[in-house]
Amino acid sequence: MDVQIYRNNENKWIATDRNYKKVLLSNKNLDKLQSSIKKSKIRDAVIMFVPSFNSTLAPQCL
Amino acid sequence: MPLIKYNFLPDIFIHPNTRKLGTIYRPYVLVKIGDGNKWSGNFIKALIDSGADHNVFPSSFAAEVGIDYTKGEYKQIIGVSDLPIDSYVNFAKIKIENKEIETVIQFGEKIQMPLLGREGFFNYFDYIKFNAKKRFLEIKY
Repeated sequence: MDVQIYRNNENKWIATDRNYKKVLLSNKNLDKLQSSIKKSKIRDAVIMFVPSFNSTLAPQCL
Repeated sequence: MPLIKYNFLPDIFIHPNTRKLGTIYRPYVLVKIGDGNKWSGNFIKALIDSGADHNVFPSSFAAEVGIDYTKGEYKQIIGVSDLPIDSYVNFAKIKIENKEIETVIQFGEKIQMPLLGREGFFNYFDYIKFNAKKRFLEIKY
């Protein structure tokens, strides 16, 4: 997996191929990304959020 | 007994001491969510979070499979911040590889990282094992 595809997508939602080699679409807004995915008829891609490079992911509790 | 194995996936990370870009490996898996016979068309990269009580997902994923998430029970999510996040508890299905579970997901507009938590994900499997040193996880059912 090449993390370089994340470099220009910090804090964005992206859709990549299953091998994480290519960013198919990106958007800061997940709703808008979903709309673009629907229009493009993309299926079985991977949708993910690219966290801030300076962030620490911490657990959530209720 | 089926065993699902995922290698931890890298994210870009700024090292706190050197301030240089590096990689940090996190326990992500690929899932689809569903309601009835409808499933999300794409895979969602979700973080396996043993610190999370429940599953939490961004609300946009609910709309895709036709869940009107605001009809669910309202709950606030708290974590390390003092600011609670609004969410709604909904029945939904989660599919990982060939395993489908009927569970609950808390959907919220302010949630960015999809999390799979103990009640609603971990408890559907015999075990979920992390090997941080070798950067992989195993899910057995």
